[in-house]
Amino acid sequence: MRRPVNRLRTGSALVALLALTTACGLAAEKPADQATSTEPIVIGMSLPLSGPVADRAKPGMEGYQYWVDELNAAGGLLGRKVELKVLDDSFDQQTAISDYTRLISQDKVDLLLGTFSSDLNIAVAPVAERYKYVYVQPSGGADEIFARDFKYLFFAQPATTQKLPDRFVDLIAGLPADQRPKSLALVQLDDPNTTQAAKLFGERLGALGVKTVYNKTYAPDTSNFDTIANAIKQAKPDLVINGSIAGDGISLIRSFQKVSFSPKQFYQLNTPTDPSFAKSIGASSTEGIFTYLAWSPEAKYPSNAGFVAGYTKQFKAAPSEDAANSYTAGQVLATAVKAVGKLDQTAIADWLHKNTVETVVGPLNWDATGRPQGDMLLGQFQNGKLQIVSPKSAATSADVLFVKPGWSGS
Amino acid sequence: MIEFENVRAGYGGGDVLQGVTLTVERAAITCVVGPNGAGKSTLLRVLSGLLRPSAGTILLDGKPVHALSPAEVLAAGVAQVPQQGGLFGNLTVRDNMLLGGYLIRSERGRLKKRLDELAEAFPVITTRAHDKAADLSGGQRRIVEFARALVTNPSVVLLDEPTLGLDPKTCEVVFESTQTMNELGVTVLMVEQNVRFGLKLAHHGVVMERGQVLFAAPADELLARPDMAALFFGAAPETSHPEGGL
Amino acid sequence: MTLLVQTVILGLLVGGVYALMSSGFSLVFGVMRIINLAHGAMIVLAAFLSWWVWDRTGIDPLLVGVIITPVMYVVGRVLYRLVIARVHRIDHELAMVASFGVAIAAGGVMALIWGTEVRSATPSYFNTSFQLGSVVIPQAQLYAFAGALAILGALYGLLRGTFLGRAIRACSENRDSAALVGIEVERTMAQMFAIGAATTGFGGAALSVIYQFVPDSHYVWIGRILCVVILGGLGSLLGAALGAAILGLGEALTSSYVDTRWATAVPYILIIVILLVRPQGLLGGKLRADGARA
Repeated sequence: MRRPVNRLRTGSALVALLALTTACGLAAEKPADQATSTEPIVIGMSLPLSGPVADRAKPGMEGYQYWVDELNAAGGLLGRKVELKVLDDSFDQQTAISDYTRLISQDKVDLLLGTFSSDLNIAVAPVAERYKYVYVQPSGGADEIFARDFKYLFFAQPATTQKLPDRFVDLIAGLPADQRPKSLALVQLDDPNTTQAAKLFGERLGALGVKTVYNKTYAPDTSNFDTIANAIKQAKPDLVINGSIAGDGISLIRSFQKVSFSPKQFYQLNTPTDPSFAKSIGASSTEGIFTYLAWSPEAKYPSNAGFVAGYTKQFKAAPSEDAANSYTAGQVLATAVKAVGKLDQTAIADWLHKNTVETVVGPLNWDATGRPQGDMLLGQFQNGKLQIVSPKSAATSADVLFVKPGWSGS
Repeated sequence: MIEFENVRAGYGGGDVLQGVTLTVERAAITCVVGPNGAGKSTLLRVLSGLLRPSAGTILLDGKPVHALSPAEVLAAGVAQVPQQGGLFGNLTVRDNMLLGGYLIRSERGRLKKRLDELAEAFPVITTRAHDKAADLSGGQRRIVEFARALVTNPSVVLLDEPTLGLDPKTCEVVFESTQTMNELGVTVLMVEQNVRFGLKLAHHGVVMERGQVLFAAPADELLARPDMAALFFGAAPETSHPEGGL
Repeated sequence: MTLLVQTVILGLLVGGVYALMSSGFSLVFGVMRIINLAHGAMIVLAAFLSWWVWDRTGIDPLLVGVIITPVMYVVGRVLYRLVIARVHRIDHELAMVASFGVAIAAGGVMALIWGTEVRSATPSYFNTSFQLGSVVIPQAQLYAFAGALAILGALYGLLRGTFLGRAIRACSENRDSAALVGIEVERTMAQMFAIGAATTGFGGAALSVIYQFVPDSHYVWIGRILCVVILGGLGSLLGAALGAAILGLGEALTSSYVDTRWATAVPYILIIVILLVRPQGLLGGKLRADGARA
């Protein structure tokens, strides 16, 4: 006579289980835009916080930090607080790829923000594209990144590497032929951004009669530049263009000093925009060095002054180019999300393709594959300060030094 | 004199010395013989401090030495010339001799005097002073080993198979050198595979087997015993040195 | 022609730095058969200490390097006692693994104390050179080279001419025989290890002036040191000097005449080549079962 009792027990257990499951299922089905405002929006990213470019990743991270703090102080995004989930890839492509894959598929973050350097971004962009996540990145400008027809990729600087040489080349072109540099040395780190820039510089300056007498690419883990500096010295170039990324630029300058070589003109990518540049090589040694910038602290764009003041207050130091680029990426993402009103990746991407976003580097809009349609700025160190010398509309100094003085003591 | 009292010792797999009791007379030459595995070398190691006995005691002139480190045993006056010599092949003869005086290295004057004395007695020390020890012939090496053991003026010298690998002529040199040492008052305790050689040289003989002392007697008595012939002269495995010519 | 002469000079100067870094390591291996993978971390630690004291007080970093040599000696003694000696008794290879563990831990501790920013000491001579005709000789490298010669000379003199040196060489050949002449083997080994560690004092100081560094730099440096000693023959001081010169020249010549990208691969290429052609190294004798030479 036991079976009927057992069946009853089993039956009620089953019913209870069913009810529980349904309840859980119902609870899990809440649509994203109706989520409770107590749950934060999580933005995932993997940055090279340790490793060879750690010293530049730090201000970049601070830019993101400032952006999210400012955003949360103003009420957050879509009425919810925003949290950053940051992983460290040590400047390794494989780690960056697996980090972003994990953030998307395992941690299921709501949004992404991009990592630093073309080298990492070229590896990560396909991951975001595959999972159909909007990927706004502040620091990978090499054209290769944008050559793959990605719909979810957006660059948060005014232009890609393709346009990077423009202003400097125009400057040289504006000189009478006999005053232009006769010879050029190209020396760059093995990275998609710097090698592409070097190629463009070589071609376009070559068309103006500047002969390339040295062109070498060095590995990212090069630590001693004496031999390279010496070889360049022996080639006797008028103009040296160094496609550096971070500390390698400092090392090369030091090696130039050691072998007593100072080119008549010196253009260096990336490294000079780091705030510690003047301290690293000595303020008087910076005189005349050219570089490109995406952003200038004095530019009169609406959000810029507030950004500079607020960042300086929070970090007790003025923001650098890297910090500004990260902040810009945050601005782009936040503007789009607010405009769309929900965390719908495709809708956000579509909106960005159709609209312009006002940022600290000016108004940004993109072509179908994520290339911004603006232009970079040309900067030069004058009297220890980095001035904008081109275009005239953004220039902070009317002078241009066409001959760099020799290195002075540190 | 040296007194072993029920000494047990081994290398981990079981005791090699199974309770050795033995008295070694001062200023005499005592030779320990026996088949392989009898524990002869282990006896010397336990005395020189390279191996700690698991049981039993060893007294040197009444003072216990079984728990001392090799350096302490040497300081107590017991020097060992290990099997295959123990010379440092990569070091020069001079360096080897200097190391013989390691314990008295801070007494520069005394050390120099001693080395000069030994150089007189053993000229090879001077003639090959700057050659690497490994470059010396077997006989020359043995002489340097003897000389080195004497630098600290020990009262006891332990010799572990001194004729191993030597030709008959060199064995003569070993014979004489050992006698000379003993005439200077040094107690010699030696282990020898070549039983005839050992017992001819020694005053006292000790026969060991399987970790214990079988019997001890004056050496020439042992030499004359017919059962020794049966035990060792026939049964002992072929060694690298011939039995004749002494 | 100037390019060649200058390249060779730069290569040899860098070689001097490498020899400086490798001498202690080579000695410890040659005598004790211990591959101390924490050697690079000790160099980086010394670099941090040199930079830190210079940054705070303005004392010349190379001078600080000399001053912290006894500090690094103590570090070596402690490391030997706490880690190496214990593990070495159990298993020889385990000592190498344990030392690598120490290196990783040290990297983490240094990052905690000093952060991960790139550092380098910049005394007045860090980017100046002596001029010799048309050839330049960077000052900092020259000082490091002089230091390397001094340290290598001192180590050689120690091993050949002092009782400690003889005792060390004796222990490396035959521990039992060494004990029988009254040498305290364990203590001698500890002293040897500590002497190897002491060399990292000046080596680290040279690193802080000539290169930029972060806590994780020890990986790069232990790699170079391994190349130098494998090339020259593990256990030979002269071999370390030779291996260092070859590596320095190899990197410089490759950078100038082959391709700058290949310059950083030179250490690994040299290791592969030497292991294929002459595995005991250029000056390494056939490894004997009972020891090595110095």
